[in-house]
Amino acid sequence: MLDKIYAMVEYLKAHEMVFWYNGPVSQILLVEIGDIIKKSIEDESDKKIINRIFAILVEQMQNIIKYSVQKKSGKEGDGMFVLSSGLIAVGVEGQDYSVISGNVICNEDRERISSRLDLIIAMDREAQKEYYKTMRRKEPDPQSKGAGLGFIEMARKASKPLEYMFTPVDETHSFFSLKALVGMES
Amino acid sequence: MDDLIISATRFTPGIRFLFSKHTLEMTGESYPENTSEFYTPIFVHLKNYLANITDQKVAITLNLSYFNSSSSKILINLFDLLEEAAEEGRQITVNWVYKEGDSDAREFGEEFAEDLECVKFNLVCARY
Repeated sequence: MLDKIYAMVEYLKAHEMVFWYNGPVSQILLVEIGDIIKKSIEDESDKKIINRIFAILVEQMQNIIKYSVQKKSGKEGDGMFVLSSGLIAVGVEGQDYSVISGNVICNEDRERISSRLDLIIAMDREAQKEYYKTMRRKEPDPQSKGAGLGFIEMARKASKPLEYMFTPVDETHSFFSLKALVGMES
Repeated sequence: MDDLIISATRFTPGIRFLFSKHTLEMTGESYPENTSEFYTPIFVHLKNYLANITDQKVAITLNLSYFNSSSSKILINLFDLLEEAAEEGRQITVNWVYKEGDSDAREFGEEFAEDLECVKFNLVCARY
């Protein structure tokens, strides 16, 4: 393993990664990662781009916290803690920044995720706005642990359509990867 | 009714609901993991306040530099509550503060304003 570490760093550098993290995440870690990323790119990016990257990062990391099936729980004082694991990465892709997340999901959730994302990806800006306004007034799906607005929020902050894929992990699980590009175009 | 003051954290806004002065302010960033845990007690106070005033002028200042999608849903609930109170005769003004040049924050304000009829909604550009 040790002999592969530098190769990994070189690989990430070759892909112009600004930030890369894979492991357990938490709300506090989200605050810190957000802060680090803002500081890393503040010299070469304007405030609007940084704000959009941050907004996408928050939705992606809170999705990992809520939906990743890679979880560890334990006792903490009188209560419990739950740690969800996932991947978060920010990189440069041509003229854009890419904001990428990844986490393990159950195969039975694939259909629900892909149908929602396909719908949003096919929309133009005006349709996205109307969908956002409608969804904001709707009670979330029973399976949704948040407001059900995360994907549409990311899509509206991104300058190009969201991209996603599923990679099989085992018979019942897949790795869900999601990418949003943020650039000057929109 | 006692004022409601909650200090801001790195992911929850500062709350200064000065009920005695009829000025309510929310300032900062809003992206808690669990929005209802943070906002439910605040809504209890606000509903209680609105139920106990009649044609009072109320000024609400929202100066939120960032809010996540679930906080956006909370804001919709807040505006619904205020609109209902305004329909019943209370004179409610919302000041939506955005930083100069932050067109995304301005657009958020404009989108919220589209659903309001009785609440007076001001877009306030802050130059700092």
